[in-house]
Amino acid sequence: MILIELLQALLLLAGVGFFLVGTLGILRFPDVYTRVHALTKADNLGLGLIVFGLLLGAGSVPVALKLLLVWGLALIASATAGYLVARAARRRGVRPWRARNWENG
Amino acid sequence: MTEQRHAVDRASRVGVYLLRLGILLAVWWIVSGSHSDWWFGLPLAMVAAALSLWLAPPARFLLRPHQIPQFAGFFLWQSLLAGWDVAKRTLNPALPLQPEILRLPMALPPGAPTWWLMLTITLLPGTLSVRLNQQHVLEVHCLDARLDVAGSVRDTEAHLARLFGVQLGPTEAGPRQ
Repeated sequence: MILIELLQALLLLAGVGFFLVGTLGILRFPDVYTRVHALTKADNLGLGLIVFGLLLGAGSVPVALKLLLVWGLALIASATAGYLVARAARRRGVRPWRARNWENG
Repeated sequence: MTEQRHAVDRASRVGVYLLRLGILLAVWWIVSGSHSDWWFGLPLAMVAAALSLWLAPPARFLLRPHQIPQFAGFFLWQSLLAGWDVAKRTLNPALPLQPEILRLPMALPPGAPTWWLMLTITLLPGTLSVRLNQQHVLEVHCLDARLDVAGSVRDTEAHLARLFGVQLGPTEAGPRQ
C-alpha cells in the first residue's frame, strides 16, 4: 500500500523533526529549566510520532506491543529525569531566567 | 492524611503479587518475542514481582481500567500540543519565553496520584515539576506565565482523580485567577 508507506514516511520525518527541534531548544533556551522543557516535550512527541510510524509497518502483535512499551518506558524515564534535573537545580539555588520585557506581550 | 498502607491484608498482598507477576510475564513475552525462553523469564518475573512488593508496597490507589482510554486520549492530545508549543517557541527568532515558578497546592492525595500528576505535567504544554514540599505544595516551572498554568494543572488533577477514583481535596484557594 503506497498510501500507508507515504503516511509512514511523513510520521517518521515529523518525528525526526521534533527531535531536531528539541536539540535546537537546548542550544537556544536560556537556562536549565527551560532546556528541560524543550527536551522532554519535543522528544516525547518526536519518539511518539516515530513509534506511530513504525506501528503502521509492524508485522506482528508482539512487535507492535514492543514499540508501545519502548515509548511508555521512555516517557516515564524522560519525565522522571526532567523532574530530577529541575529539582537538583532548584536545590542548588539556580535562579530561573526571567524575561526582561515583562509587560511586552 | 493517615497512613493506611500497612493495613493491606495478606489476601490482597497475594492478589497484588499475582497482578504484578502477570504484568511482568506479559512484558517478558513482549520483549523476548516469538521464541520466549520461559525457563529464564518465569523465575525472573517471579523474583522481580517479589522484589517489587518489597520496594513498592501495595498502596491504596488502583487505576480504574475503564477510565484509561479517556486519560490516554487526554494525554496524547496534550503531548501533541506540548511538542508543538515548544517547537514554535524554539523556532521563533524572538524566543517568546516568560518563565516563572508557581507554587500550587495539590488537591490530589499524596502517593501515586500526586506522582502521576508530577510526571504528567512535565510532559504537558509549558509546565515542569520542580519540587514538592512538606506541605504538599508543588513548585511548577512554566515556560510562559501568560498562559493559564494553574488552570491546566487543575484540569490534569481532575483527570487523574477520575482515573484513580479519588476525591480532590481542598486547595485553600490556590493561586488560580
